[in-house]
Amino acid sequence: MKLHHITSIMKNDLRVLKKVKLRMLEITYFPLTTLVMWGLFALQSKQYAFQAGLIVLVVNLFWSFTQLAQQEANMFMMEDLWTLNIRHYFIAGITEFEYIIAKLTMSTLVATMVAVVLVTVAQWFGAPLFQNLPHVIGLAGIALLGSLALALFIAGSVLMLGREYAFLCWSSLSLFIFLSAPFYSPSILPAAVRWITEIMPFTYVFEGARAIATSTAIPQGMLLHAALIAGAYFVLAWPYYWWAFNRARKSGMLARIAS
Amino acid sequence: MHPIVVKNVSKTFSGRGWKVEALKDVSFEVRKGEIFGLLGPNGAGKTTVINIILNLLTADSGEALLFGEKANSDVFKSINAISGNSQFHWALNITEILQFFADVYEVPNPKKRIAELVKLLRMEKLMDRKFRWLSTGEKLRVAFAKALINHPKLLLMDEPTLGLDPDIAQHVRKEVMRLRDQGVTILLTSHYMHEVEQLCDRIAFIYQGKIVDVGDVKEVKLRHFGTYDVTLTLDKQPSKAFVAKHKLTGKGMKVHATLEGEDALSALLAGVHEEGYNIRDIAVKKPTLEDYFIKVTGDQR
Repeated sequence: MKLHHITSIMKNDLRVLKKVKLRMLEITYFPLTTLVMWGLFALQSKQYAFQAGLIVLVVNLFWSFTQLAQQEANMFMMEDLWTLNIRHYFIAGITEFEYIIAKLTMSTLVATMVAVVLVTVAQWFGAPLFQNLPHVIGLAGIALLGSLALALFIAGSVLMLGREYAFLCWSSLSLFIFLSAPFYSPSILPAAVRWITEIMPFTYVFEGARAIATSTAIPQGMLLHAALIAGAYFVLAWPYYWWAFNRARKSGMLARIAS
Repeated sequence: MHPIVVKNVSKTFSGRGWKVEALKDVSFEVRKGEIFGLLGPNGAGKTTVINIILNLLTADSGEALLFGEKANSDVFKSINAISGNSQFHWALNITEILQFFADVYEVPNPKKRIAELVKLLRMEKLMDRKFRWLSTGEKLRVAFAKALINHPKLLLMDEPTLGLDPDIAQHVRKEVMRLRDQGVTILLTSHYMHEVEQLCDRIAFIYQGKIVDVGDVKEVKLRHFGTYDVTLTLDKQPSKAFVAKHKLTGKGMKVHATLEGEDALSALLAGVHEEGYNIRDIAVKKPTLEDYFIKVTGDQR
């Protein structure tokens, strides 16, 4: 593992971010406007059900963070696939792991910076986030782990299946949202699907977010449980990415998408 | 230790209901300091070989070694590659693109190296322009600069002059020869036979995934043709004995000979001199690599 390979890719991604200003719009404008929209809804809901408004606001904050962390890792990769730049990386001796670590690190940095702004804005709308900062950070860490795991699964899948499957970068997370019980308790769902909810990487993140919004105590056991599930996804994602990358190398897809 | 050794490499691509044997037991080596041409028609397997050497593709069997080692991060430090359609990020300018590769290859004093390449490839006016705004020839110069940034000992060039104007293609060829003179080993694929003939020391001809010929350019041409077609116009009609001795055909003062190699040509000319004939005109048709390409492709079909 060569550190300068990772830092070179990250520096290059930063140059691209600086040059493609509309990417900055995607990273900041959409999450921020969405949050402001729900913040205004929370303010409006003060008249009848303020806590419901805050639940929507805080869950959306975590949802945006989750989405940003996953999508940016995959978007930084897609930039290389679309521009056919990826070939130069691998023939320069950059390994598949150095490559993806650079992308995951970049997305973590970007998502964290945006999250700081989002938390501040949500606090202004009345969400008790600063008061629960250790829990907010803990839940964000768990959400990040789940998002990066998902980014790894998607990166491997796109490399294996081809550029045409880029839509996975935007649509995959939506597969998880319904079963991750964002705005409702898993107990509302039919028993037949409830077990799936329990093994989703984000279910407990949202449960924690609802607890923060309603100033309810979060059981420490739940955080640990959530961390173990997200961690399991993260650990499993690496062999999948490695397997998919090698499959792409064997099938010829890697050479095809790189030229 | 040869810069490239390809040993018994086979590769089959397959999907639901289809299967293509892209390479069948391909073996060759590229020797230090030579320009080695990999020739063959479209779909013959040239790019597949290059992709396997560059570890972008895994062989089903056999192996490709670079400086005696399997592809790894360290061996790639002294290698680079260029293809005719090399692309870089559209939004970055050329300085940024080269800076990135200087970082990746850990080039000592990158500014100095970039300045050298800018001067060498006459890119002074391109440096602040975004890649998307360059012409095809300018893009190729950038690809060349990237390929040379790490002072490679081995350069793989896949159709480097494809679609270029003749003057730019000629400039590229001069550059390739200059690199060879500096000791860089080059593996080149090209569709342009005159280019291969001009540049390559040795070639391998690949057809439907099989190496059908390998050797130095002159040798492989003569292996398939073995002849020079010579037409002589003499100042007087040659004697019957002279015609018979040299197996000449034709009438009057204009005679033809089909000769086996350069020695036979020398012997004929010496005979003409000894018999006291003067040569008014001489035409020697040597087989070109294009003749070779057409013949070998035809033979294989």
